[in-house]
Amino acid sequence: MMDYGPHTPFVLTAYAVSIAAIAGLILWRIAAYRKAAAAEKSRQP
Amino acid sequence: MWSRFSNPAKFEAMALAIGPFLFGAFALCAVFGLYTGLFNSPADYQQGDSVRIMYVHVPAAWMALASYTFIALMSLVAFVWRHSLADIAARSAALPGAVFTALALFTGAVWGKPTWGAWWVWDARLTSMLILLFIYFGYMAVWQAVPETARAARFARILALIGFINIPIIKFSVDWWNSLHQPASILRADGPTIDPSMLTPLFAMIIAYTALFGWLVLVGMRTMLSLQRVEARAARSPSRPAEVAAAVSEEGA
Amino acid sequence: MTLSLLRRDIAIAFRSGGGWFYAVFFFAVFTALAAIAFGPALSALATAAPAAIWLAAALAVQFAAADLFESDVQDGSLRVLAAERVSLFPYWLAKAVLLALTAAAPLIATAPLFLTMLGVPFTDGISVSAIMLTGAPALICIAVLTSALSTGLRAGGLLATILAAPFAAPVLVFGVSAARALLEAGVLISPELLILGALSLFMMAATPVFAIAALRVSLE
Repeated sequence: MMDYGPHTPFVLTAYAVSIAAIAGLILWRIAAYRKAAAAEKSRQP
Repeated sequence: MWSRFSNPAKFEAMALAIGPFLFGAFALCAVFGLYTGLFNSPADYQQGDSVRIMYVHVPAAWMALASYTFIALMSLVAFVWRHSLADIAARSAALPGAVFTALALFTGAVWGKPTWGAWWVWDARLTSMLILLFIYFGYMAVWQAVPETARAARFARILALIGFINIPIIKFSVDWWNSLHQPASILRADGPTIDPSMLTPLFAMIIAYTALFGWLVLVGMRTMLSLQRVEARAARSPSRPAEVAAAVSEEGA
Repeated sequence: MTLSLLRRDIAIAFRSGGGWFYAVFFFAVFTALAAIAFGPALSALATAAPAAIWLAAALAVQFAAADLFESDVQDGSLRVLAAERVSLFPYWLAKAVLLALTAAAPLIATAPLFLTMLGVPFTDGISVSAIMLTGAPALICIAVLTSALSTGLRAGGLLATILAAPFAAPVLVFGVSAARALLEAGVLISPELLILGALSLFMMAATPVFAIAALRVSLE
């Protein structure tokens, strides 16, 4: 699979953290949007 | 062109049209870039496989600078033309920009340790990137610290414009000072010095990150516009203002 | 306008019982804490001295600027000045000079004393003071700017220091390098010193317009 010799943990860490951070950003933004859209839809002032 | 999009309704229409396209471009390029970077590209003859970190480090660093440039540009537009959406655009770009900067710093450290033996050095490029992170924090803090959004916007514009001086410093720091960090190898007068087999995944990831940024900003703007409408509605009827105010101030992120 | 504003502010500063003195007190306390933290070995202390003294100075100037505009905002005199269709630049200048006289000048004057506490020879200490004098305008301009940006906000002083950090960092980098060049190589007019001077000039030229804009915003 992925064998990069002694560099493997570094490469994998960098990629894993990047993917996690980006996924976090996407999910956070979607959640915030859903919350705002729900607040707008609910007819409560 | 700008004034056409200062109408929130027209903006929403544009955002709804472009948003999915941006996300699709991000997803496609990211998958391609990740696959090529990890499996289908060569190791560097000097650095070995750690060079693969470049495919997540360089796009993050690029976006760190590009996001701030976007914020500064939007702040200028808001300052000069009072374009109401420009403030929202700038505010929406702050958290993504800060995350990209932090990612650039982190992946850079993880790249630096096996390749050059150090997690961190206080050279010009790294130090000025850290300073950029602090500028992002300060920028986000201004939006949070000033309770009235309109007033916060005016402070934020000024801060964004002042901080822009840091961007050319970061870009040229590796040229001006002898540095541990790699000098420019893409945007150079003589053209790129990286091998094409590495340029492909690199460009794919750069496009992916840029498209993602665009999508994040658009979603953030639509969220804030939605909250603005909720707040306006609450202002017309006096019940439950506290909840709405809390929701609005929470949406800086 | 500058002189009359300045005279008024200085009179207030002295009348309120030496509140301006706190900058020097902070400077002394921070230096003492640094000396305690770095430990008794005088050689280690002397290596850390440039950094400690510059940090102390930067923070002291920041804190001294915390309520630079408070009284004028609260009693409405800033609003009166802003309403007149004249430039607020003399006002900015008066505040900058006030900060220089009440905070920066005492710091630079007493720095050689505190540097000896940090293990730096007295004559070298005077040269380091001269280096700090070169960077003082930069620190002052940054402090005035961030104070204007955080006027009237809760915890404004802390926010101002956070905002100031990115801009003060280069001043610290080159200031400490210039001090090191002097202490280790005996070079006073080093390239770092010249860059420090350039930073000061740049801050004096670039910050007033933003500080004034921030003041006008805070009035709205």
